[in-house]
Amino acid sequence: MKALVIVGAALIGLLLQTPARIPIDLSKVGPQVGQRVPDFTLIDQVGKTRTLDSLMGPKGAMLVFYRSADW
Amino acid sequence: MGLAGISYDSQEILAEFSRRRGITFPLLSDKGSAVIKAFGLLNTAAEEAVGPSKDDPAVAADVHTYVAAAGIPPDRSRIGMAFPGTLILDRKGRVTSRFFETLYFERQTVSSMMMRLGPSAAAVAATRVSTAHFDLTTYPSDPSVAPGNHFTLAFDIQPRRGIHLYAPGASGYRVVSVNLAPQPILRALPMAYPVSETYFFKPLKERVPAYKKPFTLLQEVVLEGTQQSQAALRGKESVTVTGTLDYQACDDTECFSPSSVPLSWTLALRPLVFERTSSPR
Repeated sequence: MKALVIVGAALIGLLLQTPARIPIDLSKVGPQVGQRVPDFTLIDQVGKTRTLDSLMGPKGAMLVFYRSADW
Repeated sequence: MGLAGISYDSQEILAEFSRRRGITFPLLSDKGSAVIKAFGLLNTAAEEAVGPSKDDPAVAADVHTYVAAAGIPPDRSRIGMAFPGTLILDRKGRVTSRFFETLYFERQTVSSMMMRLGPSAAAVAATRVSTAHFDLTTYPSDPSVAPGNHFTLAFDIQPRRGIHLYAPGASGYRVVSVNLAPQPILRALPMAYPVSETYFFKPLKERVPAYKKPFTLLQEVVLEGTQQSQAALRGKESVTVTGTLDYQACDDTECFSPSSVPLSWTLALRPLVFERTSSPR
């Protein structure tokens, strides 16, 4: 009985353990080659509304994600 | 091609930044980071950097790589920022190329990315060299670079009639390669080789990967953005990269000795911008 309690406690302990943190792999984040990116609507620096569609040029578009223009 | 920048900054910050830097293309304000999250590009390490597990060595390592160098105090205002990188989309919104650098302070220059996407007119002065075996035109992707930039050195090589150079996979011959002189401020990345053809060398009845037609080698180079590199570059106005193009040429009957062409490229040095806006976040 005592052994069962210990085994049970150990199992509960395992279940409660937070899953191991997976290191960040930049090649896996964000849309991959061949995937379609989500649509969006955002305002630009002069307050004009922009969508993915409105940004498209004849050859497509280049979206540059960057950390901040502030720091 | 359409162009837009996306960050978690407010419209006011982007307006001031654009005025100061003379930026006319759209900078989109994703305050609250909803779009950055929808793209799966939220830099989760920024939150971990100020969270309960910040002292976990694995977390600290990711924070060091993706958020801030060791010694820079944790900063809640970074929560919401994106992983920096560029997506190239076709007209239907599908990703055709993506450029994300592991170290947060490294960036591809636009010209360096464009070079990878296909032939483009070189806007930078090129060096032309003729040897007994080929004509070479070499040029950098950019006239100027800043610490942390990834730029590209291009080598357009036109073998003379009947001559071939060796491609990766050829054994017993010197494969055409670029070897840059090591400098603490520079890092050369693995060469992007174009597809080669299989050459049949009759005298030895052997098949080897080779280049007979004009081809282009693209050598990606990083101007290191580390604190040490920034210190070494302080006060300098240009960076000179030196190296050699090493190769072996053969024609249909004989092979010439391995050979080297010494080369150098000088790029102007742009400083990093550390100004901040006075606008509220």
